[in-house]
Amino acid sequence: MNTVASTKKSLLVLAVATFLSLVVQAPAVAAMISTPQLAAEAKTEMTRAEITILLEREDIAAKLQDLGVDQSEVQDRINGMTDTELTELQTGLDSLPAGGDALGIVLTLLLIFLILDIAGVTDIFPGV
Amino acid sequence: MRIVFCIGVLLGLSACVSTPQSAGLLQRGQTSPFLQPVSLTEVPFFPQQAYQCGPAALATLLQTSQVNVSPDALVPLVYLPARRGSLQIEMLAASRTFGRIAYRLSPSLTNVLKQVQGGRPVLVMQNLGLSWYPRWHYAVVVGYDLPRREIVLHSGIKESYRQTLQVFERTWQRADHWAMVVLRPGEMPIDADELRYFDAIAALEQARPDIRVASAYRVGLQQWPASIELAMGLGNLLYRKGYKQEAAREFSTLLDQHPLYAPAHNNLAQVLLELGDSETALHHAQMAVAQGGNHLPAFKATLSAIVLSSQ
Repeated sequence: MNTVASTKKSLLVLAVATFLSLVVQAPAVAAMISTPQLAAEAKTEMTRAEITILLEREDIAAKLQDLGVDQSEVQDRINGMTDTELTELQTGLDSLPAGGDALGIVLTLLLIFLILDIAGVTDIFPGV
Repeated sequence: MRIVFCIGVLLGLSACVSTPQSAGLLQRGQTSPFLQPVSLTEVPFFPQQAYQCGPAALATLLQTSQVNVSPDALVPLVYLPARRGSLQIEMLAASRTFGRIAYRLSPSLTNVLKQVQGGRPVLVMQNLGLSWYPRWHYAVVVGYDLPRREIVLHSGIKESYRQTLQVFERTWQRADHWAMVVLRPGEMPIDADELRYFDAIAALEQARPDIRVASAYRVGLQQWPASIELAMGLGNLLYRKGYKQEAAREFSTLLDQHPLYAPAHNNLAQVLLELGDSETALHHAQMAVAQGGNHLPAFKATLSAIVLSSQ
């Protein structure tokens, strides 16, 4: 009885896992660059936008420092970003994916991923 | 026995994880444009340090684009210690810091292969885990072998790692099909998308105002002669660099094709005013104000400046 129940349970977990993996997030739509480059943007609008961006930059600089970036490097990192990217970073810094590597997996999940790797669903262990 | 059963169920389920793009590519058989395997052997490989696939992958791309930068030198630009990884935005931003156009590809596997076929490595993000247990990872596509159903990646500590096309598609689609290439100004991505391309060069111009990006706008205009954004971008760049005659010509050409595009009328009016032709400037400023739109306050400001100067 116990065995049947646990088999069912593990199957359910695996089924849910696989189902969730099917959920494809909608591709991000490329944000249209407005025309901040237009030579004669309205002065008031310009000032407002500049202040927003300025605050955003300061906010992001502080957040990056919190995440371990050296103070001297923060400015260099922000300089390459567009206004749209700054806004995206400000609102989603904690949730945006950060590409690292596949190490550090909880042991209990190891077997599941090994099987999923063999099944060709995931590729945590590139050798398998 | 149970494990065998589980594997069986999983294999069954995994068949449902659709890989439509791979299927489409593999179905084409002898008519496929990717029949011949490609391997970009000259693309350098840097085995990643712990969690630092971002700097390693980006260095691979930048060095191929003749920027002499090591993964170590990129760590302070793209690695986020507390997140043990690199954000996509920072990968794009760092490329611009080195004077390269960071172009995000459309979410098409065919498009990725085309770049590689054209000799350009593609940086991709993958989720090697699952959507509820993500393992985000950057790798560089350096080849493919469709007869063997494989894609070739510089990935992590593996050089020229062969991954099946389906596994690649699954892990890539779990990362929203994110892919980028870096370009020198004047180079075009293969099968480029007009607005993605414009966004990419406008972003480089903003990040590095000192970089020469005129050639990027020009090759774009060769491909899309009717592009409003590229023509405006080029006109504004020329104006910013002090080439007012050339800027005026650019805005005029744009208006030949799009006679009612108000921002071009406005910018042309401003340039003409500075060139001393206030009569024609007045005409274009009035055209801009007549069209109205989001930038109406700016158009009105241009018009009053012209009226003031002619008094």
